[in-house]
Amino acid sequence: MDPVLYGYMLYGVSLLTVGGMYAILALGLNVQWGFTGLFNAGIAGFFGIGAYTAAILTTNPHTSHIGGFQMPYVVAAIAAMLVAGVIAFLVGKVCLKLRSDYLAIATIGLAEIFRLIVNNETWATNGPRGISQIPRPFEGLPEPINQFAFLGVVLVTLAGVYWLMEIARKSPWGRVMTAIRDNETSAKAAGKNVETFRMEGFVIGCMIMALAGALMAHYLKFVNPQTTDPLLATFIVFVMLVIGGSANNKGAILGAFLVWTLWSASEIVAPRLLEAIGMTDAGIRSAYVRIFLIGLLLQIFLQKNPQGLLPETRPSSPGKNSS
Amino acid sequence: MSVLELDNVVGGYGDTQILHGVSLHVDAGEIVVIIGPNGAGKSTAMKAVFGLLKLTDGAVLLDGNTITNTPPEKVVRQGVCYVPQTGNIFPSLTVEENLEMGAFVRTDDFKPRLKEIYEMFPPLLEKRLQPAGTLSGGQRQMVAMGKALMLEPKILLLDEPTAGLSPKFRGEIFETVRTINSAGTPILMVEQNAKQALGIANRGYVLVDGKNRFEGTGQDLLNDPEVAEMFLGGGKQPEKPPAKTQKPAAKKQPRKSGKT
Amino acid sequence: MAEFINFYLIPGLVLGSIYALGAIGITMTFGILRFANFAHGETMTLGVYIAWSLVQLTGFKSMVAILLVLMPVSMMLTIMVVLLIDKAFYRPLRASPVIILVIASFGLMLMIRSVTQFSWGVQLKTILPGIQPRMHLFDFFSFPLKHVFIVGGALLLMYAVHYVLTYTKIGKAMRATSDSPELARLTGINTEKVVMATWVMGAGLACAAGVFLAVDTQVDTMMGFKILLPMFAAAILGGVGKPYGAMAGGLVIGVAEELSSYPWLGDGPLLEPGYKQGIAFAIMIAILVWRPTGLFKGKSF
Repeated sequence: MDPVLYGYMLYGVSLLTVGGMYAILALGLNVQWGFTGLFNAGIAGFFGIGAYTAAILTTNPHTSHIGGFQMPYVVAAIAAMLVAGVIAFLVGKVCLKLRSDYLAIATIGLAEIFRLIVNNETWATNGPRGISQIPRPFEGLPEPINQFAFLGVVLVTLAGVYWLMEIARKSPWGRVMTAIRDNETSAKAAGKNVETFRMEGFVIGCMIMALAGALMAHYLKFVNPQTTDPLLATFIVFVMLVIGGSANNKGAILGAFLVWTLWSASEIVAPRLLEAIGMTDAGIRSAYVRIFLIGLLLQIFLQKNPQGLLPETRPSSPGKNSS
Repeated sequence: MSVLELDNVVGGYGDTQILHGVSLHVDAGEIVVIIGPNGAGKSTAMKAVFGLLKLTDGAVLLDGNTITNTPPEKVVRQGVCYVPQTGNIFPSLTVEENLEMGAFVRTDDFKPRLKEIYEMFPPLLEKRLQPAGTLSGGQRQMVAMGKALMLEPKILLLDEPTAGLSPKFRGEIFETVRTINSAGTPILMVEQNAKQALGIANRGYVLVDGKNRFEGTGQDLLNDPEVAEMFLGGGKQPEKPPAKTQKPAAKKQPRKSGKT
Repeated sequence: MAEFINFYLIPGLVLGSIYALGAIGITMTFGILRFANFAHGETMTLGVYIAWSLVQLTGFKSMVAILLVLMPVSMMLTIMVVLLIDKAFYRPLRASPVIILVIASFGLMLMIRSVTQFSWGVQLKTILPGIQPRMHLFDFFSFPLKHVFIVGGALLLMYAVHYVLTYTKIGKAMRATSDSPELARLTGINTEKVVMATWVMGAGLACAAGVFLAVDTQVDTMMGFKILLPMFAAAILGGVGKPYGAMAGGLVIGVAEELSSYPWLGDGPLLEPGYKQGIAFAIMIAILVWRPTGLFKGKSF
């Protein structure tokens, strides 16, 4: 195959793979923000919990960090979700009754704490140097089949999460969630235990984020506290939801692939543009330009189209929406 | 021409319509009371004057000028002052600072008016440097009303001024309302304590389900058996009031009314 | 004892004064504009870089010149930038739900930071070149001279805030709006003017806090973000919407952070320095759980 075409093909596969993982993240955030109205700014923390759990459980024994369990991928993924779920439950017990911006501050703080712990407890996590040589499903297969195979894993997982979330959304449970989000007082008056529902939404969302983290750990075969600039990754997921459409699972997926493609493509285009206009340090500076532009894109959507490209579709239910 | 008039106003919050065509007016020197069951739209009608909800039909007129759907900060500048039922003082500001804020839109020296307010409400002078949030319920109402009066408004809107107050303070508040009115300010008042309110009112309106139901002079409504049954603990004899004057034609006129 | 005071308590007060200045802006924005402004740290950073550029431009080297002349100019420039940001990005969202404003401020945090990083690069810089003189008092106290300027300057600014809030019409209007924006509107208070005043005060103080921090440490594009959490914690500790609370909260958190690495029990520090940043967070969570209105009974939620 023509090498240039081959390169594009591999690039396309990686776009879809990473986009798919972000789509899973976005679906997780959607449960929390879109459906339950919870502002979880600690996405990076739960993502990291999933990544590190999967890494620790699947790597060979190593002197610089806990490891050596060499568990199968599915077991590690489930474990990652469970760990995240437990931590989410504890976090939720303390923080969920907070108003949205307080919850944002608290969850950002928690993500920072997680990063501090990972950085400092080097006996467990190898600190800033991170955990490497994480196994990846299908890596034994020849190139490029192994890339496609892993993409398949991601897409199958995405499809599964989407399917489950759609069922949840249309179920009575899902309807109570949106009722609570829209008008907590009348939901309470109707006898719904708001705290329990909120907790369920929060925990499920965090578990999904951990799953995405586990996948990313296998994809990169490496995790460290800075794997992705945590704040940027958190922010990007919010941008994906705002642009794609929060409270809409299809919108979350659309937003994820769209924004990730834009973000990734800009990595190629921006440095060239900057060079063309004679800017020094074009490579480094292009990163800042990209961040600025994606931030600007978010502001435009927040002002002009906060519902996103695919606005919320309510499952048909009798009676008006409460105001 | 009435000082304030609501002409068949229709409106509500978001998708929920609360007022289905309410009409009322307040003339110079009057105390007009709105009573009615919970959810009748009494407070809503008052908020409509202040542009706090969207009116889809009908008009609000101040001295004959249309002010329908004008935002609150503009309505204040036209001379309409509103004392909401709750959250009507700035708790962390001192009494005097609260009154100063009441005079915010004034460009002239407000000190003389401040003196007048202190004369009207002597307890406030005593506590002028205390944070308003530390005052008793009755005194907080005084701060709220004094603050609204700093602008010498054309009309004062009071939303359930005696809500949550003990009977002793209720009486004091109604007295204060009459005092304010005697000084020349027409008052539109929503009240749950219908009997006492009607006792000091020139006229009253009974709203039910967002529509006008009864109207008349305070006395007539007090005597009306249907109204009595609905709100005044029906079957009770209304108290015998002393003779009242007719609706005054001039602006300043001392009010004589039944006192409860 | 001398070691405790000179190497733990005094640095704690210095750090605390910086936190206090930053937290005032956060608490006023919280109280009046009703949202947590995640971009506040970046305002601080931007202010520092503006000051740094002015230092390069003018060639001023003495601390006095920098703090008395260049800092006020930087403050004014920072204020102008923030007012423009409000006009372009926050004002259109005035009526939006809180979550939207928070997301917008999150985005602005990254946008402002990217502009700073693009314009000045990420290498560490210094704003005050050379070794700074140390003061020695009574054979007991020993601290860098710049600490005097920082704490003194911070106290001066805090007094200025107190003056504005207590004796000026706009200051009282700010306190009133912080108590109740709804009632402020009904009273006829010009809420847009109050909003502008809030940004002016917050941005000016943030720039000053940043310059003080840069004088004490160095100039770094992440410096504002690094202290964002402690500033939020200070504002919440003091009671949201209470500027005096923010001042007190800032001092408490600054001192607590520095004292945490003191060897209270035995030889090693009580808390690993790597976890210092966690203190502010722990205090904040404790307050949110046990006394959400903070020390000075600010807003709860």
